[in-house]
Amino acid sequence: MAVFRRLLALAFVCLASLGAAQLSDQTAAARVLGPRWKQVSRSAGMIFSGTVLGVETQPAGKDGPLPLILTKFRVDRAIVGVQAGQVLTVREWAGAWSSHRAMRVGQRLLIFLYPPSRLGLTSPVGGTLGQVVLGSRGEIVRTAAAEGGIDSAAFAVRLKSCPPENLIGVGVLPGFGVFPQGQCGSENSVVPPGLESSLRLSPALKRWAKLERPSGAGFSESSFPSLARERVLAPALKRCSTQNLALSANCKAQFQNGLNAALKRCSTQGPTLLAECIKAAQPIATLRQLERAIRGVRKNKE
Amino acid sequence: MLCRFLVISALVLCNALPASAGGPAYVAGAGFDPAVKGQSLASAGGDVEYFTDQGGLSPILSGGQADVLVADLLTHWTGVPGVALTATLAGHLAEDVSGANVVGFPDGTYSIPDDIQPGALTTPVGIVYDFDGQVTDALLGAGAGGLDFCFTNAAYGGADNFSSDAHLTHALVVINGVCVADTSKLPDVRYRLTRTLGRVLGLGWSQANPNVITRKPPPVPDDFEGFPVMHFLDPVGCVPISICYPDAEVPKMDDRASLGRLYPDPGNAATARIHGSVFFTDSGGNALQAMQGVNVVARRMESGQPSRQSVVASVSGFAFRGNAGNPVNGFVDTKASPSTISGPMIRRSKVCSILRDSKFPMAAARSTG
Repeated sequence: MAVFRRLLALAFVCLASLGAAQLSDQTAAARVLGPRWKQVSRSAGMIFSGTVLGVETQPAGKDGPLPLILTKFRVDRAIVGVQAGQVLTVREWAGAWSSHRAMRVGQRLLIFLYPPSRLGLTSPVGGTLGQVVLGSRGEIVRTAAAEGGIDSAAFAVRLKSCPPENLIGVGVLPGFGVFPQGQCGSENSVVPPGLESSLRLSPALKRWAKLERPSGAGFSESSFPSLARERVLAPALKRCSTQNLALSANCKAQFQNGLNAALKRCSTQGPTLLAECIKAAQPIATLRQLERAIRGVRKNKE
Repeated sequence: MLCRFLVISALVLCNALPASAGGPAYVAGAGFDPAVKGQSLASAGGDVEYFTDQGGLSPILSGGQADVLVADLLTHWTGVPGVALTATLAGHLAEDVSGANVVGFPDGTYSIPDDIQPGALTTPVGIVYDFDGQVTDALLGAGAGGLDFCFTNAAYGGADNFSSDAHLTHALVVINGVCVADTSKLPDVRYRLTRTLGRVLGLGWSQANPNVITRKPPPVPDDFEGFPVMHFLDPVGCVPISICYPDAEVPKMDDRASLGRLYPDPGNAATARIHGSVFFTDSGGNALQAMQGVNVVARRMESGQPSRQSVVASVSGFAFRGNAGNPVNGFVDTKASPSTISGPMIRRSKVCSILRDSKFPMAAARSTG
């Protein structure tokens, strides 16, 4: 009986861990791809990370009545509808080209494409939503959500939970209605959502956030500067605070004036430490995480 | 005179937004008549004739009502003071463009109606009412015409043919009727169609008052009043669009100024031109090469303060005549090599990320945004 109980407990722990991991993947996906990531993932016929090998045009009349853009990819990581290593030529109507970011030779992307149409054409799902620019090593450096500037949906949800009399700050513009980044007057945290977890590690960062936005306005959840802070600042602070108290204090003071100033000052005073700090910064999400999340949501669809 | 009240500041925008700014979408470059190189591409004579679909747009908008909608939105552009631009509904397309006549064949070929093809110069602007999203599905990819993607696919299209004398000769616009299923969706479709029509007229994407999106600094009402309709991206949660921008479909000063440059009214003297150069400097601060791709923002000075509402922006070097490629004529040169930027560039390390996706002029007509 005792053995059975232990097994049951073990099974529970395993299941709980699995659930937590899944949540983490989904959170990562939402952070990178934006709040509509499930919709984008389910609608795509091809999902992969790849390298742009070429971009050519096919003028109207040559092989069809529409001008096309032929983008040749090498598939680096196949997720849906393609195979790793495959060289894929995407046929896109030139008229759709301006609705998403131009793709250039050598660029690496995580891309979501609609299933080819009956004309054999496709394009990124939701325009820019279906494009995630990757770094030269294929890592996630910018998010689709960041392309959109802000995840205003998250703020809209937050706003809906506010009693109307508590709406303050830039969320309400007299005569201009309510902007989705408004927040409740009763909320006393001005911490950007992406930084919440790191604040427990670094109270100084919380002060920095307050200094940065004394108005109490909500932060952009997914803007690039926030990502930079998240990826570099928090781990750097943690590392600084544990390894060098004097430098830590200096760094924190500088962070109040912005990330660039901090990096400049730190690099002057402790380049080695700074390098370690930056090295310690982990990417907000990995492609593997996104792949798991995408596969998971598509499996549920089926 | 107006210049006296304006201050120009080159903004180095270290954010994730593209470096684009108000101005033309296309500029004549290599491949155009030598005499027109550097000219912005616009409709000849400032007279836009458009032809609409014979079918209805959606269950709530018949073809006739959709025609009224299109005409109404075009007045946003044609009604800009000091702009010599007219738009005329010159007739209807020869058919109801639908999934029945936008078809693919088993051998991989496909067919679309003749009068919406780029070469259909007698129907210079074709406007398709895609009642059930089937045309959108065909052009953008399977599923693109569904309700889930109205945020990006409610109205789309643009110029698809140019003449060698630097004019836009054909454009195709598709309005997805699935996104106009009820009246509550109409404001968003109006907004997206206004932007698409702006593209048809030759306007590029713009970047003024980006703090409306980035929230840095937090925008004030005047920021919204100066935020151009022709900005590139909307935050994904802006549904309906009115929760993010008041007067979303109304052209702002930057939009109006850009249109005025494309379609100037010779009889209108109430405009001013701001011009100059942005330079790299040497260690002594002396000007070296001129710099392309800088988003230059001009604001009216009001009571000693730069206005947030009266603002225009442009990209330095936008009239560059080299070869940068474009969706119509290609992104490779005559040797099949990718077109490259041949003008002086800004080093990213120097000025942050303003080069990212800057719409540098390249080939024949180049896309500026």
